[in-house]
Amino acid sequence: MNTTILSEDKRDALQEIVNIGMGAAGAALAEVLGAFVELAVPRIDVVDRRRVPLLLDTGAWSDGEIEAVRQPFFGGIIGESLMLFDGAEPARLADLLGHAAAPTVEEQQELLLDLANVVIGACVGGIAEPLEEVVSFAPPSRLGGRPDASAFVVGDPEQGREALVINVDFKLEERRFRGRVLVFLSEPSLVRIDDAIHRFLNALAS
Amino acid sequence: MRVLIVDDSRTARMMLRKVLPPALGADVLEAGGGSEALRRVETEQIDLMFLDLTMPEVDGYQVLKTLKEAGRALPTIVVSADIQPLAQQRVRDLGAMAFVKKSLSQTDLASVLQGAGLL
Repeated sequence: MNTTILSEDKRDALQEIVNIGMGAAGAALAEVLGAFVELAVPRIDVVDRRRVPLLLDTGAWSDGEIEAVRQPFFGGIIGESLMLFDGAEPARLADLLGHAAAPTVEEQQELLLDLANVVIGACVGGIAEPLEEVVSFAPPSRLGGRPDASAFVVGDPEQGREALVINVDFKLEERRFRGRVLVFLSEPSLVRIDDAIHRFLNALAS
Repeated sequence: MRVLIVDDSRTARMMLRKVLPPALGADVLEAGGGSEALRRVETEQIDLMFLDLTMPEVDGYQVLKTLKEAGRALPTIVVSADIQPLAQQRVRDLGAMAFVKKSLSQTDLASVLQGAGLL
């Protein structure tokens, strides 16, 4: 990928666009989970895909097991999104659902898929809409734990060596339940986004 | 009227500048974060502040809390993507006069400013 695209100004614009999309996701999550959702400032990075697994092992994400859900998207922009959950043990999910007993495996998976669907939809849809791109989503599916997520993000060499990583963290206030969204875009899609942001910024400056 | 726009995103500050109603007659200043906003409020004449919530280091909640604890009554409109009802309640409890969702139109902003008696 040509790293001269997605200049600092364009990254700032993309970050703000993601921020607006995640605001809607946060409100939706708050309603579903009945808790206040703390949102972090989104981070936009261009990284070598082989280094992406390190993102799964940094800072507060370095301890404990995670659960990963993937959801491909296609249309005007094409890519893969990965939703990581920390604190998704059955007892914590039971607490989120307001159940006294631990949820069944099916209930656990359904909850995580639903949450991923809401967050990824808001995040990727939030990028597409102001840039006037139309995106469709494949159904989310469970990827597995940390090793499965690491293997996934190293990815298919056909997808290119570098990835645009849109990193969005959220957590529930007073509960140990956190989420992280990683969005990987194909190189042609990144060029489309770069062009669209260029137009967006030109319109803003006019 | 001297207006301070506080947001860590340059794009967000540009978007807000673009929808400020000309009738406001705003002399616009900017701050790229909560710490800078507090410094400017302390050292300069500011008549109205537009404040983002989600910012690194000192966020919008901390700015409002600091101003409230200092007894500094500064008309503040929170402009945020975080539209959770509890977020809106919290900023009002901390003294914000209004809460508006990003990204807003000039008509929407004019309506908020009129409602606040600023336009």
